[in-house]
Amino acid sequence: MSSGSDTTRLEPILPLVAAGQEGAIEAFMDRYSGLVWTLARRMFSDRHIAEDAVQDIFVDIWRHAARFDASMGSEATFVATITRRRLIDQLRKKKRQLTGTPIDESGGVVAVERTDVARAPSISEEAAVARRVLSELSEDQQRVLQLSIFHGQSHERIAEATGLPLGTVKTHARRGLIRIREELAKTGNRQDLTGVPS
Amino acid sequence: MSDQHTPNTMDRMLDLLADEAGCGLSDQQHAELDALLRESLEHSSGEFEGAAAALAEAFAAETEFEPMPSQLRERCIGSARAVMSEAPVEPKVTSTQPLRFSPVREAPRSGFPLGWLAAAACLVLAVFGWLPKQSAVVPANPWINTAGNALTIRQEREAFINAHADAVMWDFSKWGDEYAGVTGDVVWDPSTNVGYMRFSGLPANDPNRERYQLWIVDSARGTPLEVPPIDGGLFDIGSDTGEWVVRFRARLPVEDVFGFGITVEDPEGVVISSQEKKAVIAVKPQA
Repeated sequence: MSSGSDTTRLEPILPLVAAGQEGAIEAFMDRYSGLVWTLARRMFSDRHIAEDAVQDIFVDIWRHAARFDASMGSEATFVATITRRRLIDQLRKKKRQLTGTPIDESGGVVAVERTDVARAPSISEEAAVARRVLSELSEDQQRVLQLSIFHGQSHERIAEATGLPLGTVKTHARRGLIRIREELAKTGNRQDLTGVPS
Repeated sequence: MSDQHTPNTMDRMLDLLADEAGCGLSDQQHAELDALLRESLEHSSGEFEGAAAALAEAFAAETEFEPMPSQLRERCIGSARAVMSEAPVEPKVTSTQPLRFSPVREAPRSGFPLGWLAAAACLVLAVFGWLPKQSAVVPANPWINTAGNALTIRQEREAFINAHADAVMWDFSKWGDEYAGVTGDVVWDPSTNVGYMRFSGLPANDPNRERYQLWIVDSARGTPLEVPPIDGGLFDIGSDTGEWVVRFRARLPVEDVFGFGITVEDPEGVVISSQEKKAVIAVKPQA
């Protein structure tokens, strides 16, 4: 792992949750509720929608706790994968209900700030790889990925918000993800192949 | 490259995969991606999911985490306990039993159809003499479906009722006109989040085409106009005549149950029912 000392390999809690160990659920919530809630709130400014989504996310996590395999990726990435999958589901449903209107009408365009890659708390190895790749990208590329992945904005909406041509937005998003995936593969990460429930 | 794609179609496929990992795809885009992936040996749906998750975690780590509201945290912990306490699929339940409970998800708050309130109001107002144990008379041919197993679950239900004095028991009434001949009831224990439904006359369904879906209205989450019902899961009714029983467990805690509705939906179930095919409904009797 080349990401340096800012990564943390925490002992996974999901196996303990699956085994019914007392206190494991609370410990899991202590560790990940902030991550899940932050991701949900970034995609949904409507608190009620975010709360509903988060409840769904945790039910999914509990149901599939026993399927987590630490040898295939970090627990944080497992959690983030389930979280994003459900948030995107919710986002698509919301888009259906708001046909013909901007997708994030309730919250408007989110603020875009450049990521300070030098100032980061402990994160999983996979996230550290992603952060390192991000730091090597141009500011525009970072903004596109932030709006797309963190805020769930469509490429069209990102083009409107940033003033970048749509084709450029698509290229930035595509190339950025390809690079991160390639770098993750070099570290032996197989998160793409984990048994994260669909 | 081994894929049967031109550079343009390859870029288009990768764009769609990137969008899939970002904000998701429309149905039309999904169809387009599926078509492109069929010509590809190297790419698959969701292939950027792991990279996107790692990136999202990295972005999140750059922000100050907003603490999860304590009530939401407690609900999540409660859902964990509910999920963990679920019994595994019981071997005594055969494939002919209508117990293929496969919960999907709670519906979001928006888009709640008015039909629920209307149906409940109509029932309350119009069904005079509506008694909690209206269908106490056991049909003439009960449990004909799978004698041994069905009897077991019948006994299980009776034991459940005896063990849960606080359980509510309400009758099902027609919700859609074509279900006028259906009788049945639901018994529900709020402390365990478990219930049993009985049906007679509910038509058999082809699970490949459509399935029955249970919806639970919880008044504690708000009025029926404000909060959509909780998805209670999918089940099937076989072609055998007689009475069928469905045991279910709400995926989320239900604090103040108001009603149970059954709709007919696509095989995968839905998050919000359009109520195009309403079957039967049971609502809390008015004092």
